Amino acid sequence: METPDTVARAASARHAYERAHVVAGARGIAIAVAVYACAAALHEVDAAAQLAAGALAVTLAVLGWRGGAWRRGSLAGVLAGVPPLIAPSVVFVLAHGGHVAPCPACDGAPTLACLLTCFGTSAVVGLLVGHRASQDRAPRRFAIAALAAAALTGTLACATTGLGGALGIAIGLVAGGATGWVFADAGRSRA
Amino acid sequence: MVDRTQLATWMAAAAEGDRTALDPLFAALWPIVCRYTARLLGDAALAEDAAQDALIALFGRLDRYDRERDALTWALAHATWAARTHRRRRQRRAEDTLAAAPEPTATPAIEDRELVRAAVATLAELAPRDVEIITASLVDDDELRATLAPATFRKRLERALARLRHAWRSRHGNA
Repeated sequence: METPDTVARAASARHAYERAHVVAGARGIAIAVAVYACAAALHEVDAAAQLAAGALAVTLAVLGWRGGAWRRGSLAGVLAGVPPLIAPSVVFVLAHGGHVAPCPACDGAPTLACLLTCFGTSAVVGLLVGHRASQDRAPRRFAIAALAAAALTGTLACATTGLGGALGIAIGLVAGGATGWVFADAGRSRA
Repeated sequence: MVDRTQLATWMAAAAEGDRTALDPLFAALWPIVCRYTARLLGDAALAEDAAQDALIALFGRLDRYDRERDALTWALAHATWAARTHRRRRQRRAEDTLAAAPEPTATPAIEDRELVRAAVATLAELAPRDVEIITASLVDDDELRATLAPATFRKRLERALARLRHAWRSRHGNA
């Protein structure tokens, strides 16, 4: 039988649960700030990128608070979005004999090398994320969260390469998912 | 009878962010954890507080629930921890109460005088070095205490008290 005392105790337990989820949401915002700081150090951050950073913070906060596959997917998405954020600058530095300068994509003229780097790296990481999504308890939620977070993280670099990265993630997710299912089917038929 | 599978299902759902699983999970766990902490602590009121602390800790960590492990065992592990903490807190409170209690005044003065006389006589049997260190332990600003290293002081005091106990027992038995 439920006494008022038990109801109050249940409410305390529920508050503890919600507190943990709010902390996870706050952690999401902290991650978004760190990613934005990284983007600001490597690229010229314009208004669109600032908007993307805000959207990323809100997305990570909400998905972190929601918990479960949403949270796992969003963190995987941020990881998948980091290569298109960093790789163009690394490629630029390597291609110019160690000369450090903002990525030319920021001037509105993305080079082919820049685009290919973005697309290639995010496709590879997307493959891993897709494979991980196919193994998750809730693959659909994981994949949606990962896609959203990856696209927003990639967009922080600049719109062009960011969307290229997001496309890479989408392809990677599909390819990775298919690979995961093929392996799972093979394992089942062998068993 | 506890339905462990159902418990694991609710816990897994809550870990995945499903808020509707929280109330049935609490309702199922509360009586079990309460009974368990009561058995550990032997005090119903304290057991309820420990059970609540255990469930608050558990609900705060639900996202770390490992589905490979038994849900009930995980819940009872939290309960054990909470019960241990409450038991320690209770012991500490009891010690503080004892320390804060006023000195007994009902002892007759004659008995006091006899006790002091017996203690002084026993102390007189000890070497001056032992008397010196025991006195120093009773007086905070003693010179000897200030000159010795704390570990050396502690060791010498322990040895002196052991000799004092031995001398007391040889004169008065175990009284």
